[in-house]
Amino acid sequence: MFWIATAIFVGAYAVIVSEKINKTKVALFGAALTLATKVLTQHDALHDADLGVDWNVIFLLISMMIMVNIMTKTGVFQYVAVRAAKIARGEPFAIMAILAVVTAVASAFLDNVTTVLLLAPVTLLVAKELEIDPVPFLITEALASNIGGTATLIGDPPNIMIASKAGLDFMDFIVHLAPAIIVVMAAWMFAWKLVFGKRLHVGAAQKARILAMDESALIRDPALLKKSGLILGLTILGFTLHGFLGFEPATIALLGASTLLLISGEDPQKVFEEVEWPTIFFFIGLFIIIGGTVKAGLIEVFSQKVIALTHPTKDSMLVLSMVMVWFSGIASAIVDNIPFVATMNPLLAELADKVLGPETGLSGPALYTHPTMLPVWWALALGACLGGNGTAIGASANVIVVGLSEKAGHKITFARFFKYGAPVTLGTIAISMGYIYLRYYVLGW
Amino acid sequence: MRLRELMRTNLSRARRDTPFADLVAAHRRRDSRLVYVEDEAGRLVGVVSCYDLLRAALPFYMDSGLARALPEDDTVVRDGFAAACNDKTAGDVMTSRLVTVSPDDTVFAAEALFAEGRHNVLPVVDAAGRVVGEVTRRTILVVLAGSCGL
Repeated sequence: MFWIATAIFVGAYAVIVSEKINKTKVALFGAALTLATKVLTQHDALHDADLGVDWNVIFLLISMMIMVNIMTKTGVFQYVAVRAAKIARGEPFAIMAILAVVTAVASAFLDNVTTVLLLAPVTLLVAKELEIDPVPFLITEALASNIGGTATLIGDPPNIMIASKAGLDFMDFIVHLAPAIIVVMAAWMFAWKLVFGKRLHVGAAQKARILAMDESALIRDPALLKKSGLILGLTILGFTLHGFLGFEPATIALLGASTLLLISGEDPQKVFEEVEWPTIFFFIGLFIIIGGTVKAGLIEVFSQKVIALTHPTKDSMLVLSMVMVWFSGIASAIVDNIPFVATMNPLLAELADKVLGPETGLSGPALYTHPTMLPVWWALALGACLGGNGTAIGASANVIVVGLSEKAGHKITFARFFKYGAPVTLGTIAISMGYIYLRYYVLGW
Repeated sequence: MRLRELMRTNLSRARRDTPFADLVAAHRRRDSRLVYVEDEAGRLVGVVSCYDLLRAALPFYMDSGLARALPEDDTVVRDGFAAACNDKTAGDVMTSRLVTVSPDDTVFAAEALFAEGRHNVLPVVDAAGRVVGEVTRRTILVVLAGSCGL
């Protein structure tokens, strides 16, 4: 059983990393093999909270996709982007910085790919009007979407998975990760000012073209905007209160999505056609493969190795936290951060059971959110989300931006993206490491 | 009635390397609803509609909302892509996934194809793959109306 689960896990990982076959096909086939070889029973896969599909993650993702799909029809994101360019008075670096902040904030609440898909067309248009190279702007937006997505529970799939596994709520992420991301953004923008501040210049005529744009024409459906804005706002309010109210985040998201479907008048057939089902089934397949490795004992072997290497104790997991930021950051620049976090989650849960369980007598979320354990989860989230900035294939938003830029006649080579992405990744992960060390191991907040 | 009896046979034809401007000129002459792109052996390899030309002349990222946001006298985006269009040929802009009919197909078959898809025009192609005519929705509608005495 152990070797079968290991072979399926390693085989699936290798094929996903090679990108020879679509990752959803691989994950679903791996899941089917896990069930067919009886590593996991179908009952385990669908109903067991520790071994099976995490339906909280699945329904949170689907519900957010429904809300975002409806909201994108209003044109509000393009409106904000053009408004930002006008607020910047057509000054290229100011436009770059404001769009980076807009992208980061939007990505904290929407998925990163949707954010860049909505903002990239406006960016290409603005760059065309300014007669400047759009590539630095587009790469900046991809990086900003990955950074901004790190700040909240719903901003990036790894965070959704970590929250669900560890029992962390929306406000935990706001309190612990958002400050780190604010520091990271400020430092990054300062560095970007040094790099691009003097390099980007345009004439008065080009600036005037930006100021002549009429952003109000971009709002296509004001009535739908009011409805979807209200529901999204209430949903975010619900997220901030879900821990207090005793609801899972997926319940809040489902409530928001179903209410918006009811009042928007949108055809559910069309809305559901735009849900990213391949991503959803990728998650389902992965959960089953990883569940098989947990049941077969592979994850336990990994966790014993991690304990032997980093010597975590019930009072401090300093070395583990520091290693985790860098390990997850580098791993996520190379492999998809979703399978990576799907593997690390049960590993850290196992580690918590071994190191803290006997001493504290706790189990489940109470154990996983023990103060000694918390910094390790934050290290995993920061590394996994920020690491995606390292390469052109490190995150879905990067792949999308590279594709759109090429379509517009501005090819972004792997090396060019790396030139921007690698220093940002190293810098942001170094800041994250410093943040975790200072906050949890020096100041003890 | 078979399609060979009612198809239009005065067609605009092009090769893959036909320049963009010649395709526009062909549409302005209105010989046929589509420009038919053929290979060296005269086989149909694609068609160019007015939609294909309009799509090629517009940046892919430009949607109706963004277009409305631009001032009327904005020429930057238009000029850039007008220049790009000068470099494009039929091979760059044509639609190559085609639904075709045979000269021996019935009016009923063409009617069903029009009802199933969003085609405005169906190329009529012989057994050797050469385009010999075209039928439009209007052609079929007029024939059907005539058969009902309308």
